[in-house]
Amino acid sequence: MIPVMSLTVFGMAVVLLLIGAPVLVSIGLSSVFTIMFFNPVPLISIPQLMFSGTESYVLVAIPLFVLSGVLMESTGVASKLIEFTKAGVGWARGGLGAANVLGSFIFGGMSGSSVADTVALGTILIPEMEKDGYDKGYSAAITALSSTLAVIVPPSILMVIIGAVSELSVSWLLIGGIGPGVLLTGAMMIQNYYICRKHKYGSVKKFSWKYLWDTFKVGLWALGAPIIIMIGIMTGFVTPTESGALAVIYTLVISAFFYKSLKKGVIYKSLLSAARLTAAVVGIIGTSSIFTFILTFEGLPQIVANFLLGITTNKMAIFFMINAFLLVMGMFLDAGVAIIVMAPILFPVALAVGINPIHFAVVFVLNLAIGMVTPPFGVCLFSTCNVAKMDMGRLIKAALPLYGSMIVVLIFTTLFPQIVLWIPTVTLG
Amino acid sequence: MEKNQLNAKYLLKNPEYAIAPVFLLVILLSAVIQVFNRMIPSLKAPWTLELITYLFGGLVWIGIALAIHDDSHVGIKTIYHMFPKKMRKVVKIIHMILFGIMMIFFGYLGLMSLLSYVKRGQTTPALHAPLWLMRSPIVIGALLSLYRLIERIVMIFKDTDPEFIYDIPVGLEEMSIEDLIQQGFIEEKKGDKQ
Repeated sequence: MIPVMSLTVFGMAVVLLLIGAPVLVSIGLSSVFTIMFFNPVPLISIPQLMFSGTESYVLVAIPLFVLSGVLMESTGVASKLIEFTKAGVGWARGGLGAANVLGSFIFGGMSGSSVADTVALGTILIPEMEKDGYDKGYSAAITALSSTLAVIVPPSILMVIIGAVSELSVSWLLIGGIGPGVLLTGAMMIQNYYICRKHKYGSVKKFSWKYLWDTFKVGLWALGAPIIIMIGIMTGFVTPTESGALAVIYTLVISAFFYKSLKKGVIYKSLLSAARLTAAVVGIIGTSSIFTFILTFEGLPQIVANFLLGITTNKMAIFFMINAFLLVMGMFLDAGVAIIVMAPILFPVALAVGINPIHFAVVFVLNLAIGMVTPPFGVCLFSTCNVAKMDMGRLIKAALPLYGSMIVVLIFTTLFPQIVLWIPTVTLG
Repeated sequence: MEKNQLNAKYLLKNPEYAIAPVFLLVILLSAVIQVFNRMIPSLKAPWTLELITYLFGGLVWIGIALAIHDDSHVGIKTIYHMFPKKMRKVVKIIHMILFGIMMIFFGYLGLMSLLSYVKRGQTTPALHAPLWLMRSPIVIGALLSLYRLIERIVMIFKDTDPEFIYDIPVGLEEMSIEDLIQQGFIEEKKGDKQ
């Protein structure tokens, strides 16, 4: 049987997306028209479907994580962390490159946005790296590629979205992202060291305990926010949503009383930014609940599963086929949108072949993270080019070797579920 | 520009700029109360979860209007940016009209739902608040969105839409015009009345 409704809703959405219509409109309008035309349910069911999509306690973590990240950035707390990472690793060969990667791991985790990460770290570190003798293209490349850590390590907004869309535990997903995040950080730092040694990028300075201690004393407070989120979730003491709220309060307290950098209007501006981003993402989730209803009504996920199982029944072969598909999707689609649209179709396939859903979800996000920095449309490539004021060609040429680490980490994470599942199994049971 | 946004006159003219931050602030405080609720057994606040959930739903609907006002809805703009400026204006007006049609649907269907809640006298389980009130942001959001869409179409016709005044760098669309100016990615131009 041909899934006519699914094809109609997909076709309309794709046409609208291609002409640049907001994703909310592309998915929402195509879904409403399909329901009106084919009448699978009465129209009055539409608001109910949307309420079930938007009134989600799990998704409340999104504005709170964003709020914490925006506050960190606007009150200058993030720059204290960068200073600390520079004191820790900046003295060695390729040290500023390593500080860039480590900074993304810590700060990116807090901002939850790769673009915010490239702008915050790039504006400080790219000129500094250039001054220290690094190639400008390489400085921009390592900034762009390491910014993908923001969506892998907690508090990742993409993990919250995939958790809500696929009805998985967000705590498990957030903690599950730590393993691949650490692996990617390590792989990039090692590769950075060898590239910098080969090309003699950057100067080698003397390690200073005093500088490390001074920056640690200041940065220690800033490190508190990600620690609150991670420890809170790991111990099961708070939910991801509550951990986000505590991180916001903590950031406000340290920026007001310790760093004294909380300026007038910052709280209001941060609340607005978080509300704006939430509406843009969760609005799509709301309308996508109609979209998903149409697809599942006709059994499209089952049709896709049967099609893939007709090609092969090998679990790993299917997993790698999905990986390849998601990598391509990530190059063209916004990561959040790709999850909202593709997760309801691909999850039943993964479950049918016996892939652990938490493992699958984390690899799903890892694929999309790589897509963010893959030409031709990787969003972080564009933002870094603007921050570094350079052309895309030069950035991509310098980034080519670094893609190797990302692909190796992706392959390892796909092959070994323990990389994802070990930490949450130990901490959350 | 955001520097005048805390002014009462501005907030009255742009209610979503007042409602959305207040909703988010209440969500934040309720989540903190929830944590204390667990630590102090005598502090019983079973309503927090319900309040957070409904306010979050409301925040999304009001936020849709806010994001229209700031032109920050997510879209795939690769092909769109290849169009010449004049054609982009036409295409953007088409987007706005389609958006408007969708919001009329949502607003109307939302209103029908609210009326059915009123008829049945439905209330929420923990807060005992009327369900129509808790879900009314769907209609308020739809109306505000329609107003913002019309406003944006007028801006395109009057050549005051920042998208066509500034050359916003690709990849930085999620940043506000004010932040882009502050960080030196674009220069402030006269005639930006946003």
